[in-house]
Amino acid sequence: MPDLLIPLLSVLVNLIFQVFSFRYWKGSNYFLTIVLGFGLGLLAFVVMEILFLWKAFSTDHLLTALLVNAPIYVCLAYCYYSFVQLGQTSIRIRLYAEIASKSDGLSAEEVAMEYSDDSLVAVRIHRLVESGDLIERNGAFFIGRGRLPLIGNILFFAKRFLLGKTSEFDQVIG
Amino acid sequence: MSVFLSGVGLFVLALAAHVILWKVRLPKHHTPALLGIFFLLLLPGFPLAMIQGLSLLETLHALLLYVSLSLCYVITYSAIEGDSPTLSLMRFVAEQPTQGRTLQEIESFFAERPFIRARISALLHSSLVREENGRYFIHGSPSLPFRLILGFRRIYGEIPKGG
Repeated sequence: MPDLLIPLLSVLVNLIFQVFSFRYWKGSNYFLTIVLGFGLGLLAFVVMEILFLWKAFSTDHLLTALLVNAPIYVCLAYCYYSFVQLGQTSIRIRLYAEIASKSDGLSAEEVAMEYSDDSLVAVRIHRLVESGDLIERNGAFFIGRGRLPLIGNILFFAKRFLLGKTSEFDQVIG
Repeated sequence: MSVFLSGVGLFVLALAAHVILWKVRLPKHHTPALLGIFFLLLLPGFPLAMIQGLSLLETLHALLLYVSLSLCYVITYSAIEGDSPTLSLMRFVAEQPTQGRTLQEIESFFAERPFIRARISALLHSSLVREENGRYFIHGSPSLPFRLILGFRRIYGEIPKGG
């Protein structure tokens, strides 16, 4: 088996276990299913790489496993996670799905009823508190874990560098 | 090692082309333009890798690394192009680490950022949705990526409203 198949098969393991665990838990523990899928895919990756190196060890194969196959697996697992996440949280996809499901279209009022900015805030706060990223204390919200602000800051600087602005609402905010 | 250098080298080249083009002039449709750059560099990548002395399997391996890195970047770029409500909220809360943010402050923050209206505008702008007599309709049949996402979504069943 060519070693380029190892990360592809590992992503397949990731996908299968994520979908099956999601269905097993009937839609709850979403984030856990993502972690589980990634973890089992990674385990499959390590096992396959060890078996491959066991059969034909060379420094070149070891470097390929570490520098080529591992990044391919991580990148494709990230792509899969983003793909799943799109269906879960992307406003654009959800609006599109909602419009597609109605043969007579959707009015602006119906969109506002289904997807108000208030519900957008409520759902996100609920999700972030549940995941421990936000902490609610004495009627105020605090940062629970620093990973999301860090990602936010990186994207903020990338946006400023590439697009010359800090937010897509720069003109709205003024 | 040559597989790694070829894949990463091509990716860095594509990234440089993207940054230069973006600095010269921002494209109208960011994602298709970005995909175009990565795809265009894939074409010379194949013969170049072969000339370098890589076997067919090694060339495919290098291109798989290039495609994986490119897809990763394109996906991440969508969060650079448009604001993520979740990340915007987290940055807003992080600005006040000791006092925190009240629900009222968060609501005013979101009131200044009409995410829903912006996403509808984006769907109209990309011609995926059309507006007719104050109602929104799908423009043509759903594209393949949308059909894939919507098809895969069925596995997950009902999702709470609000995105």
